[in-house]
Amino acid sequence: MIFNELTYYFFFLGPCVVVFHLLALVRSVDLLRARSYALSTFGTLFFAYYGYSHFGGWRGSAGVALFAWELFTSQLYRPRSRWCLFGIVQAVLILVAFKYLGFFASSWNGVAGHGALRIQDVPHLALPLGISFFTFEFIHFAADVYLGRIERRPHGTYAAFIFFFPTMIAGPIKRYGEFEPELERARFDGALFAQGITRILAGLAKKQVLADTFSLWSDKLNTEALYSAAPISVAGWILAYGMKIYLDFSGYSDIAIGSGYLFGIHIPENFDWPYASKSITEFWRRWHISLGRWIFDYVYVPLGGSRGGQVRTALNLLAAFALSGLWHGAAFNFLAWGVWHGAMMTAHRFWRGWHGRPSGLVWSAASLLLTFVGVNIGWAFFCMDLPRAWFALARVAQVLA
Amino acid sequence: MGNSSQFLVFSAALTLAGLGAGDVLYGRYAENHFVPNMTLQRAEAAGSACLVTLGDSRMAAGIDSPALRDALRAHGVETCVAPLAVGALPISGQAMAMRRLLRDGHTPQWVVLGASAGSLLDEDSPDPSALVGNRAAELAWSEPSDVYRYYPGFPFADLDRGVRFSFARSNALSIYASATWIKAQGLQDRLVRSQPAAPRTRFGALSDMQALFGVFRGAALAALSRSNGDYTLNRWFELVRRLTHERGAQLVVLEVPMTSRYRDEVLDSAAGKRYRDWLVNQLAASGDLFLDLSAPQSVQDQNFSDGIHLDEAGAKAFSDELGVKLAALILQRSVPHAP
Amino acid sequence: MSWTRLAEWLEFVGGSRPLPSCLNDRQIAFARAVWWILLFLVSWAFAGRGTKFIYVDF
Repeated sequence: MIFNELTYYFFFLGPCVVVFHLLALVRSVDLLRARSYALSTFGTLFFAYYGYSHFGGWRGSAGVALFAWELFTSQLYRPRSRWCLFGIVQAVLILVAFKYLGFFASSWNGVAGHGALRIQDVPHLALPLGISFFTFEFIHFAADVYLGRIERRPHGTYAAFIFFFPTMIAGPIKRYGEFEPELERARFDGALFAQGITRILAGLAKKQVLADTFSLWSDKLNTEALYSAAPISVAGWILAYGMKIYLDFSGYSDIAIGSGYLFGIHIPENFDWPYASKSITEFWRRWHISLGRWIFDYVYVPLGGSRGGQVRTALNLLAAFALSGLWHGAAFNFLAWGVWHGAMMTAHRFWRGWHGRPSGLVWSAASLLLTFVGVNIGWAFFCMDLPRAWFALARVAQVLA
Repeated sequence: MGNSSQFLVFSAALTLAGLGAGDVLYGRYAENHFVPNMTLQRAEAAGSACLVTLGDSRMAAGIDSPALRDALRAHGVETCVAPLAVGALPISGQAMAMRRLLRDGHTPQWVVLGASAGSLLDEDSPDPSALVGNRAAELAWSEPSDVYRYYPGFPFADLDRGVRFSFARSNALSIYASATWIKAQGLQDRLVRSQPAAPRTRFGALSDMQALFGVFRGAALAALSRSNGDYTLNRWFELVRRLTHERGAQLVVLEVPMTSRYRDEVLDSAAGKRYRDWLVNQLAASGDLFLDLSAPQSVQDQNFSDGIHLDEAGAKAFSDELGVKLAALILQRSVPHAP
Repeated sequence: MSWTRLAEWLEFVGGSRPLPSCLNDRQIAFARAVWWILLFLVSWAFAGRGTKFIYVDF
């Protein structure tokens, strides 16, 4: 984990924040351009360093070439230009090549067996750091320029956007139209800086103390202990996983957002008390908010959204969430997680259509409980392979039986 | 500077001051409870002109100091014994232990350094994150210039590891962090009511100790087969030699007792024999001695409690035999041995 | 304390919600420093979970 290393704070965040704010004292520079270059430089060094040390030596560092290529091709983006579509396709291909080629090949071999159609050398490329996040930012930018939603500003701000290293590893997935104005008006603010330090430290504590403690329980789901555990224990471990993943991911987001505060930049929130949701639709407005927005804007709506009748809406929801599941990991259990959430979203949509929005304390409590149970059933798929997940859920069902 | 900035500076300054004070207090506490430090203090208390035993856990387990002292005395050598072996410390930590002992004016007569196949050869430098547990002694006992010994190309190479090492050794919170980690892990385990603790030995979980055989064998064979026989002595061992010679002491490299299986697979392999011959020549060239007690007469395989470390009875028997052999060496070389 | 107030309070101490500006005084700055020290030390104390070390004689 990069955010708990002193290197992140002493070699990257600290010096970059100092340079970022000192530039404001230099009268003769174009502040926006200078700050963009500073962020791009530190972001490049960040990617190269951690790509090397955490993701496979020089090959890990070489992934910075993907960013350079994106900066080059993005110069060609214009509203309604085919270059934007090219940019979207190339980002998708990059993601597929690095992340899913092996999965598709293995899946194909599972069907093809040992015959002539079997792929002999299943490709496994080293994943560049944060590939799932930066490709989504590439796609967002190309799509929004194509649709005329954002106006590309000069001064290297797009480079600053994609190289903004606090969000490089695990989001939140930013929007250029929100980031650029923040970058332009970023000023040193003592209160915000202090809030940033608090947020970073709180995020670290969430991850290292709380999340890692819950994982002591949830890790048992992937050991032999699962097969001899009592149903109530298995249920407890799945709930522990739900807490672990929330604290882990939200802690990570806290550190990223807190790091942004040190620059005077507001990064979008990613979590808003998701387990207080009274419906699955509400859950996806509170959980991994930046991903939910992205899937909505660039998958669900382009597929037709809710404009094509109930059946089409259901299919769009299932497809969007299936893709969301696969985005999390190249394996069938993640696909199952996504489809489960898509099914819950569809069911909730139909339910709301028939029953409207019931009110009252009993309904609220029941909705809260049902949503919580549904989400945690999904976590069983998320944290275990399919056979284990089925076993665990069948075991938990014995509690009810 | 606005109000909010003033209060930010106030909070930050107070935080740094608080952490600094905490670091000092924690350092004072940890120093007095850190077992390698306590081992060093006991060695210092043994006397100034002693026979010092250095090494890792195999020496810590295998040397019964009173038995060794008695055996030496029984064979005409009156000397104190200062046991300075610390579990998990490789030659770098052992050299630092020696340096620490000498820093306060101790003048050992004899330094008996326990080693085994390849442990004195040059090896890859550790990442600073590996200097935890007992290996935190390599931070606590280090000097600022040790960064160049660990990372010879620093700062032009290994900048990251060198800087992290220098930072880690500069404050007690980093040096002794693993002492608190153990407590925190214990708290988490009790909270989660993990399975009952596995059987432990003096040095750690029994299963880990039993796995050490494979670790040592693998490391030894890798070290011996590296360089195709063109060996280089570890720079930390060179430091031990230099410190020993400067004080006029006699260095004895002792091949520590190992099981018959280890001897067959490692020490008596072609590479093992080639290495031993090379080491003997290297030591002889600088007036140092080599004592091969990998197969002592007093010890059988069943005397090893976990396949690596001698049990109490084995340590006593081995120390008797070592005392006899050392006494013969001492008297042969007529080095002053009176305390 | 209602759940909303509890959530708000957690957001203040977690840095997700800015402190009201009327609270910006020395006492808050002192409390903030103490909170930072606590958060740092507790994160530091639990940082070693993934680290395995043999031969711990503490």
